[in-house]
Amino acid sequence: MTDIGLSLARPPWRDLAGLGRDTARLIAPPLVLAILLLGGWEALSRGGTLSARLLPAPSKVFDTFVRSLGVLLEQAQPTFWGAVAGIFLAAALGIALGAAVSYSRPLMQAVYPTIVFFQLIPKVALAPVFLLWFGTGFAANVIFSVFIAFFPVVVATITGLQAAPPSYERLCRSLMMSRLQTFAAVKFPFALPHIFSGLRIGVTFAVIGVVLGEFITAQTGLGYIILFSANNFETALLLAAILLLCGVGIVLFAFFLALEAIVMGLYDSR
Amino acid sequence: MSIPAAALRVVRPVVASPGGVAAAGADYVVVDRVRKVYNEGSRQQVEAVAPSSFAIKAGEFVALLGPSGCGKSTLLMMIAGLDAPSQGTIGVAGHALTQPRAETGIMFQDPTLLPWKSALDNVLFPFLAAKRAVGPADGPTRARAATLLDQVGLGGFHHHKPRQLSGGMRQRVAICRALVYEPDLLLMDEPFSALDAITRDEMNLVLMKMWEEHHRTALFVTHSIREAVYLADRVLVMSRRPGRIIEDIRIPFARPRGLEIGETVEFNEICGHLRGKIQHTPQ
Amino acid sequence: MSIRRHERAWRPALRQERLRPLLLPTAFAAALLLTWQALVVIFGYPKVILPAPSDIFVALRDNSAMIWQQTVPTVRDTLAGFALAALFGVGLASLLSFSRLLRDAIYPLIVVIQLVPKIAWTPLFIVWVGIGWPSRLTIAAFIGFFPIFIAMMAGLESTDRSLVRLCRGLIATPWRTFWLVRLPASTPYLFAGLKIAITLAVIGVIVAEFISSSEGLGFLILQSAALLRTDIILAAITVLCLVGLVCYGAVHAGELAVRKWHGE
Repeated sequence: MTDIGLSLARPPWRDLAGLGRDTARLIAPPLVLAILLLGGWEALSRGGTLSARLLPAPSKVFDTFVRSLGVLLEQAQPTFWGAVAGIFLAAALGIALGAAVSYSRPLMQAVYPTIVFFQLIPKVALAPVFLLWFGTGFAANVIFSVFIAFFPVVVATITGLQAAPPSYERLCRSLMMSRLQTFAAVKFPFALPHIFSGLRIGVTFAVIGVVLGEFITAQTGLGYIILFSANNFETALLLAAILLLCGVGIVLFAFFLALEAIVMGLYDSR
Repeated sequence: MSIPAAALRVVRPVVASPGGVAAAGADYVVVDRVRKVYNEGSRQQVEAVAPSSFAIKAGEFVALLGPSGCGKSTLLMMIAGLDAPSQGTIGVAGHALTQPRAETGIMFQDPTLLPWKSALDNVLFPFLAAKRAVGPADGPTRARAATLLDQVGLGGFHHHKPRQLSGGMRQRVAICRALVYEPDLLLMDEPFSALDAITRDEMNLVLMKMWEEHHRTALFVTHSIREAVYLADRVLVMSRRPGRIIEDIRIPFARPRGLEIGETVEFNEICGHLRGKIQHTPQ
Repeated sequence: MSIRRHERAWRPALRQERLRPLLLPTAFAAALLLTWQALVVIFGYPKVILPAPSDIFVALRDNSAMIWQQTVPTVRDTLAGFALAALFGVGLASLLSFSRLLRDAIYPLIVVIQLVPKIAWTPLFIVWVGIGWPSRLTIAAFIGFFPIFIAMMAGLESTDRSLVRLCRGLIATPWRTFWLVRLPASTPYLFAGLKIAITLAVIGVIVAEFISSSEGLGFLILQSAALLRTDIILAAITVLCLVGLVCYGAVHAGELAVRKWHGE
């Protein structure tokens, strides 16, 4: 409002250039560094300083990636869908349990410390137990993945449901709203930022859970490929698999970021 | 954004409350020997409100004035039905009060607007609580909400979110929300305490205008003597804790009142009298 | 909705209500344990699937020597990896705080590397440094590095701008500004990162032991799974929890000590 006079004086295309300049300033340094590192890596590999067994050249990794794309994508399926199933189930269960526990204060006081205590257990150490319980199939991986991803979501939901300032609860009481109405109209929207941050952590854990399950059962999936190529010193394939796994993680993460952007567009309480 | 005195209309309709009983002048809110004690029976027992009795007549604007911590907000909460008296009874519109009433409108110090809803949707929020006859999508209701926002001076801001509004503007939205379902009793707990002095004067004018337009029975809690004298027909003074009513005076100024009456001798004499009452209460 | 229920919410805490946050969770946890015990003992839930708490206790007692023997390498590698992670994390973050250009170049790359689930790197580290303690150490250090680095960066950035401006006004050298102002300001963030890192380091070592190892608690768990000794598995996990708690507590104690030294 205050700078109307000034901004009218600048030609509009100047602003676009400014935008481009800001983005460039952000991306250029890491991009340049990355290119330099890759270049140095390539040069060292060609020159024979870097053992091809331990660290093949980027060109070789890329080459392997393209050649094995079929196999890699095929093995990415169980990993990707396992993580998807894991996070979605964990989200549903986690939010439901979090909401249920938050229903009454005594219930929450009783249950929340136990949940926090469960967070302390290094859950990955329980992977072999899940193996015993559920065998070695895809379902077992998903169940383990749900188990790991579930806790951050529950904790985030419980914390979030307490985020609404108490004046809002008083407002709802004065308007004679029922418990359920207060929950839907006020408490849950205020909990959303916390829930989403819990979901972001949960996505990471879900992927870790699936990959770990694949490490241990060693039958399918990107985790299996990584282990297999490590055992056979096929380092190029290993790196290619890691690259694809990174892509899987990015896709899932991006989905939840987009979801968060949409939902918070409607219900932003920050 | 000040409202010129010429915009204030002379209005004094007679209120027929939804309860059907009270004509102007009848006792609308009856507080009978109400006492509030916290932690009764334990070592941390605290008497917040000493036995107090008073009545508010239909259509009256009463200010409840007292120093901080004297229990005036507690008393308002009890009249709102959000807290229960330890002793005594409260009656509103001829019925004993045991829980919040759908026909009572309340304003708090914090506007408490939902951050993700527009100003208009915030005003319509009470209709989301299904105990009303109509929902928030109802045409006449939406029109009434829009008119209220226009009346408080938020004409171009219906679709703004709270974070785009100043503190004073948010409280105006809160006023509209309290009035939109046409309550017969309006309770206000220091709604302007958190605002700066200039905005506060503007809000007093807005409240006056809205009250004279919609003329409900009103109880306004404040610790500002000038605010109480400016707004009310009648001022009840509460002592320090444990609070009890120690003074009940009628304010003689005619309505509509402009801010300039604050400069008159009579106004300041009344303020001085009230100040003396507050300062000299025995412990 | 009656007033009574909300009056309870209104009333300031009486003595019995102040005890509630302690009694309720204890009662709930006790109820869970009892139910668990009952499920196994009374309803005959197979011990291979779910040993009773009493069975776990017995397994702990009977196998304490072996469990202890396997705990030592795990703890050793965790602490060593954590120390390395702290060294590199604090070191790199501190270095970057001196140069805007380096920071702009390196920090985004590190954030991008984070995108890969870090345990997926474990087989690669095994290829690079071989099985046994070198790879366990490396993976623990690698996993622990990121939270420490990012926390330290956040801490150094968080220094109050007015303090930095004061230093500039006093013509303080960058080193002195760092040592006297930025570093102390970053300690709360640093310790938050250290706490996360120690927890993750334990996980890293366990995963490394799962994949290929002949010692450590992870190895013990895997071996016990093959032998269907679920009670030993859960006993080992109990020990692991305790290890994690002790390590976390040590970091927390360190934080309190540093705060005291700062005179807070």
